[in-house]
Amino acid sequence: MMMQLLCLWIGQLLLLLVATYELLQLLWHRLQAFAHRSYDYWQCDRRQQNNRLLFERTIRELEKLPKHLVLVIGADERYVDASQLQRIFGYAQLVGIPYLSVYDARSVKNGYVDIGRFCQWSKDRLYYWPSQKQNKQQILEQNGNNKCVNANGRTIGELQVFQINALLDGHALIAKMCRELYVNRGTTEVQQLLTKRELLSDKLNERLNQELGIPVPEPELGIIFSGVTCTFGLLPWHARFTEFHTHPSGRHFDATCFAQLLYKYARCEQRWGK
Amino acid sequence: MSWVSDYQYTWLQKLALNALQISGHIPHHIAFVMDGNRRFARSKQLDKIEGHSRGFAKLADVLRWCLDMGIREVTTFAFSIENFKRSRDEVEGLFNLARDKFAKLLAEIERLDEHGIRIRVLGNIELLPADLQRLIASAMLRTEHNDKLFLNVAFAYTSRDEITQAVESVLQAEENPDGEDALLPTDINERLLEACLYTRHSPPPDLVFRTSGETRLSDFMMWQIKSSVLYFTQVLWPQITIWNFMAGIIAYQRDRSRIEDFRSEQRLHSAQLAKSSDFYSLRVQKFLHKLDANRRKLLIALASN
Repeated sequence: MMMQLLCLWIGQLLLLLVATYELLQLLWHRLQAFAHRSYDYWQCDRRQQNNRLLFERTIRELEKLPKHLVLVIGADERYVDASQLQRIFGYAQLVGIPYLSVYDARSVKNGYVDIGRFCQWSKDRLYYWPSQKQNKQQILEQNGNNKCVNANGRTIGELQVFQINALLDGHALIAKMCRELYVNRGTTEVQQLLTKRELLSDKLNERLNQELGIPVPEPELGIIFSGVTCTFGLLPWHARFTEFHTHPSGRHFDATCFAQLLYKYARCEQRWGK
Repeated sequence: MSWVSDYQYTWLQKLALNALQISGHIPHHIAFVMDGNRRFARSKQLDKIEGHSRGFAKLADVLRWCLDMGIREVTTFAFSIENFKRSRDEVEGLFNLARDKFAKLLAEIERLDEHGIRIRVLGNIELLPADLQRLIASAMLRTEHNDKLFLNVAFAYTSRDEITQAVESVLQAEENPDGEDALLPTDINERLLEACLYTRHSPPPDLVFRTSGETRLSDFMMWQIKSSVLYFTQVLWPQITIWNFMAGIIAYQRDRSRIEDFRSEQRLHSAQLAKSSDFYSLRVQKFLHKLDANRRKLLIALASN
């Protein structure tokens, strides 16, 4: 009995310590975020130049960059808003990442960001960033001519951004493909697919990719914005080899954080089962 | 027993284990990605297979910790379909290790019954050599009545294969004797596919624990982990200690409350899907019952080969 009480007391003390540490950490992160934002506000031009220099060095030093980056915004996340997303889009554009997906697991009342508010819609899930209006303004602001270059020295193009729907594009899409095949199960094509599992797997892959419409459907790097490391149901078929990194909720996300994640990604070795 | 070790706790470890058990929520189901056996072997200048063998010995310790902690279900990722790309020697070495361990398991089956441990192998076992299929099927059938600790070993497994297998099961649904379709197109949704996965009788993992510092999931339980807490640690699998294990449990206890609302939403969504698609209708339940019967029939056939 005494032993059990002692264990209970130790366990609760431990959890209390963890909770206190987390609370203090969150306060510290918010304070830092406030300081960074204030600095950005007053030193906007210098900050942009510093970011450019940072990314130039990053690209020089890195052997690989992801082609497709996915931002997973957790259901519990309260600090990621449209302006933060636009900042990250800007970093991706400067580095030269061609495809970026946003997977926001929040509901509208909990802060879900509709990227259509600041991106140019093209078709289905595809948007372009910056929108034509923003693009013209950005070019004029940056160098006054019609050419804008990223840290790689290449002309900056529009970033292709995909908004992945948490309810329709993951598990539900696979079920939809299964339903489609089931309706046509009497056809020779589907009967042929049932002779070998690889054929069916390839067909599912092809149809899911068509439906998603993302040129590189498997994201290589995922940044989770949440207090918890969790996929929140992100594309179960496509995120199988995605490198996930969690950015703790409340912490300021700036160009340095982005560059650090790129370094981490470049260091990891993909073995593909070998 | 070779699958669950007789780990000797120090008094401090015992105290910490009890403290965690009494004061916080213990995960019902943990999934382990046991990564780092080969890197461990390289660092100690051992043969790769010796690294895997040490990894298995560590699994026996981990199962003991789980059992003592009160965890009801453990899933381990032992061999991916992608691992067939490794050298022939290594793949054969891994199969030999599996043969040895499953043969030992069958030899000490009474002790498994005593602990109420049920072994389930998840994966496309027909890709494995016939003798290994026989051992695996025998172990699954022999322990199928145990229900205290469920040990799922993902062997010849990838999520894509599992999802494809679920779709395949739906497409192969046979007509009922009265000539009616086994399923209606409106019966097919995520809820039904979930019920056709290899893990159809398991709850989704509460915690996914991956060692060796890699932060990807390597096509492991991608369907099931939508609301699982992921825990990545730098330590190599054969070097994992009880303190690393408990750090994972603390991380889960810390994060669980944050994700609880999302999990409730998911449960509600799943219940709504089940209702809207007649998941509990006689038609769908008959189909699932037949699926179970066919899987069991396959195991019996493999065990008697």
